[in-house]
This record gives sequence, C-alpha cells and structure tokens, in this order.
Amino acid sequence: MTREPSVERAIRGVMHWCGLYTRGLPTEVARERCEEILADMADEEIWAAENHIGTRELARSIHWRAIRGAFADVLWRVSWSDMSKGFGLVCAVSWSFTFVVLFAASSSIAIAALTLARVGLASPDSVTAILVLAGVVCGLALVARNLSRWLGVLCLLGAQLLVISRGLPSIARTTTILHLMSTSGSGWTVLQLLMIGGSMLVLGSAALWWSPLSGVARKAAP
Amino acid sequence: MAARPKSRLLDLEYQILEASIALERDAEPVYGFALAKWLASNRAGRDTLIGHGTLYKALARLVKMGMLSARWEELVEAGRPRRRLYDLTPDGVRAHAAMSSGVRPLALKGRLA
Repeated sequence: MTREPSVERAIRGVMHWCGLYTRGLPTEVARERCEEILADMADEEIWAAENHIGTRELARSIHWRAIRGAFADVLWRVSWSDMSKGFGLVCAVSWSFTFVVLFAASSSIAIAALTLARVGLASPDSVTAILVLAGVVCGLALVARNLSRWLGVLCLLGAQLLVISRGLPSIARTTTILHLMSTSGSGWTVLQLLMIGGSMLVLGSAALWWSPLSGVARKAAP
Repeated sequence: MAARPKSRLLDLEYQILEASIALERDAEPVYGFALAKWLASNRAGRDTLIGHGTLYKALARLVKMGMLSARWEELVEAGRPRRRLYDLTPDGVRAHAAMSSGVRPLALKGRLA
C-alpha cells in the first residue's frame, strides 16, 4: 500500500520517537512497544480511509496523538528504568555520555556562532567557526544513529578541539575580559590544555563506549 | 508526592476496562486502536483519539496489575502489522464491578497489587 508523504512522514516521526525513548530497554520490550504503536497507526490509517478522512487530517491526528502521549511515554520509560536495576548503571553511563555530547555540541555551536558574530565572515577566523559548525552538524547526524554514534562523537571531539585551540583565542582577541585573561601569563595556556585534555578524555571515552568494540553499550545506548 | 497505590485505578484505566467489556460483549477484538476509538466516542467531553503514550502506558499498567492479559494476534490480515490483543481477566472484571458499584478500588489492595 502506498502512503501519502504526509502520513508516511508522520508515521516515521512517531516510530523515530518510539525508537528514541525505548533505547536501552531489553530488545523484546522495545520491539513490542514500537510494534504495537505501529499497528495502532496502521489501524488508524485504515479507519481514516473508511471514514473518508483526508490524509492531512490523518497525519495531523497521528502527530497530535504522539505529542499528547509523549509525557506518558517518558514516564513509562522511567518506570522501566526503575524496574531493570541491572540495567541501571549501563543506562546511567550512556545517558551521562549523551548529556556530555550534547553539552559539547551546544557549547561548540555557541562559541562558533559568537566567533562569527564577532569577527564577521570576511575574517580568517570565520573559516574555523564554519568548520566547527560543519563538524558539529556532521557529528550530531552521526550521533543520531546507534552504529555511527562513536564516529559522531569523534567528529564532535574534532570540532571541540578546534573551538578550544582556534575559536577561543579569536574570541579572546575581540573580547576585553578574555583578552586580559589570555595575555596575563601562562594561565590561559594551562586552561586551554586542561580543556583539550578534558575533552579528549570525556569525548574519547564516549566514543569508545559507543564503538563496536563495546558490546555492552550497544545494548543500552540511550 | 506520595506514589499512587498499585491497586488504585485511574479514571482512564477504569474506562479502558469498561471499553474492553463493551468490545468483548459485541464479540469485537480488544486492541489499542479499537480502545482509542471507543474512548473517543464514549468519554464525556473528549471526542479526540487518545495519545499513544497515554493509552499504552495505561494498558501496560493494567496488564501488570493482572486486570488484562495481552497476546499477539496470530492470524494477521494482509497489509497491516499484527495487533496486540487484550483480554479481560477475572480480576479486571471484579475491579470494574467494584468501581462501578462505588466501592473504592483500594479495598482490593493486596490481592491485586
């Protein structure tokens, strides 16, 4: 059966959301949940066709049902986390790494955007900022998939290192307080080295955690 | 905030039991979307289909409490995924009856938890 693109998009969106909140659960539980919701949407599609409900209205209804149930989905997921104590630590580590990765991505975007706003597109520093933004976008796209997540984290690590080594100094040149900090001795270099070391340690660990070498993480990737 | 006792039915859970009874009485299969349709046409002031998460979380809870049992459809019509079918259990019938007659479902605590 061929579907209208709007309905297809709605169903894919709901399934994507389902995949997201069931990540890290035992495979059977996650599969059954997603399968049940898929069956529900297929039934709604048949019912809509029988009742001459337009495809746009159907797509809107599917989206709206998913949105209204999203909070309950999260609560359901939390209740599962509580039940599966053995899974708790693995899930906690995965979620911590997810938080770190999102923090790294958002801070890189913020600094790159600030650099662009400060130095303008004509400056050589803007190349760094654009590279960082491209790295973050590629990184997040790869992070979105389980199998390529570790590659995405490496992309983000590259962007983060560019931000620390090139982005921050270019902001420092245009910001009075940072300029004073960066020219007042070796503290700035130490701070940069610490940030580089920290990023490599944390994001490197995240990449390892999600790499194909780590079997446990794949079972519990959030 | 204190957690809700496990045996205490929410309004939605009670209505799902009611829908299940009505569907079974009409010899209709009880599955997610059938319940969503029933609820949309029978819940006062709510004519829209219930959110996926809200419905399936409530169903999962009723199954966990032993008021419904769940199984996957064996004979599936071509062109649609298999449905998860629900059956009322004697505990579900009793809990519904108790709530319908105004007895607080907490009275069932212990046996249903």
